[in-house]
Amino acid sequence: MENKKFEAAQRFAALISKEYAREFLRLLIIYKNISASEAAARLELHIKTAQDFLEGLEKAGIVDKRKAGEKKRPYFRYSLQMKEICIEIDLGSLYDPIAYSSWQELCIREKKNSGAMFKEGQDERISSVHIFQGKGRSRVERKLSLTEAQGRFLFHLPFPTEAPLSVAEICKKAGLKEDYLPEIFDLIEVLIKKQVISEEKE
Amino acid sequence: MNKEGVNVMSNAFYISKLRTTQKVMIFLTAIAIASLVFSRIFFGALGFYWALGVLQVVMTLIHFMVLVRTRNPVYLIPVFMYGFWALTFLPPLENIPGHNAIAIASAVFLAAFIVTLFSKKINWRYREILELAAKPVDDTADGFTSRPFPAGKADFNRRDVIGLARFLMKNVVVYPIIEKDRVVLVIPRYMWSYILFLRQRYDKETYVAFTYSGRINVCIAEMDYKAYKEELTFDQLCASLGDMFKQFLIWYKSGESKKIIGELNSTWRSEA
Repeated sequence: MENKKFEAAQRFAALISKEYAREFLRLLIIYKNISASEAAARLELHIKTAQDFLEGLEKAGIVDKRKAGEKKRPYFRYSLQMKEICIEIDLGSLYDPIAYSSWQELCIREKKNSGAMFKEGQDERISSVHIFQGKGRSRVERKLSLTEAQGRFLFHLPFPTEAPLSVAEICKKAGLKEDYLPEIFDLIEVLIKKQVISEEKE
Repeated sequence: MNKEGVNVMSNAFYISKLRTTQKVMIFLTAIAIASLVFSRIFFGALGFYWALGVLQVVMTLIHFMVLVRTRNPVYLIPVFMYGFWALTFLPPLENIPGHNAIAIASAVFLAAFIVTLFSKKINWRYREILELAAKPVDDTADGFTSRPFPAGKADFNRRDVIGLARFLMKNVVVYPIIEKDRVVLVIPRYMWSYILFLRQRYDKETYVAFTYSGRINVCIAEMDYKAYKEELTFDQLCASLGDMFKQFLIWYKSGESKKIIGELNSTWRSEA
């Protein structure tokens, strides 16, 4: 549900970021209703551009679309439905802590022969991880710059030949508070996906 | 394990766990010999003595630099030996007064140099350190990573670790780098590259870092790990290297620094 709200806000933001959006919305305030060809002519736009913009507004529920033209070929007229638009995004909804609640018990260690390169930072932390994908000319390097908490966590991650430890235990060794868990989980998620960390049964 | 924490070998002869690691040194020596041979062939005896003399001047300068950097008086022996050789063989100095005395002095210093070599007083300890670290490790589960290994804590202060670093540098065991929050003891494959200021960075070298908060971290370079004949279990190898330096620190703090050199000298000894 929250995802849909975010996507709708994204679509609308894309619409109003258009160069002609301000003038277009002004037209919609002035005219009781307007067709795509009328708006295109008024704003000197291509009719397809005007049509796409109006369709976008209609999808976002900002304008209403009605069929017109009795004898002629039918076309659509658009009328504004609201004079104020409010975009509200609940950023907290983008991360669900409950979905990650069991991750503290996850036993992990570095994967054998992951091929990743770790750069040591100051004060017992890793500053970045370099992940290599592909072989030969198509080999691509991806650098992950780490936050201080992530760097400290990775510093204490068990070696490939050591016994795996739970995320909670590693955080304790690294002296990390619970506030940092979301960014730690994010790093773990990426590194598991990139096969740098392996999830093990203790 | 013996009381120093080093595994007792069960076989009568010690078998090295390392491959050949000094290829660059072998290559440089081969170039020096080849240049002497070529100069003899193409420029005759005079050319040969010029090449030999210049080589001795270079060696004198290198050893003088080592003497200055390590402050180890033992390096006076190679400095004088190569210096007197240069004075003996350089053609323009052939007729200087006291040339015969210089030649005799160079022979005396050669003898002293041979004694020094046998007493291992000027040995560079890269192989010994890697070999000692590998002694207690028999598992071959691989597991290399470029991450530093937290080798635990030890009881020391800044003065202790800087003192240890100076002692190890004097004996060319490690090349120390003193940082704001720690002392990094670099174990370079080619110590001369650091002593001659050809290298400053250590991120691709093996090192043991003593942080002033009391922690010890070990990093074994991929190049050095690949020098082992087998893929030794990496965390055990790192832990062993860390333990070795912890023991060095204990010996240094208790005024038994000679034991460190004794331990390194015992590397190739079978402990059956």
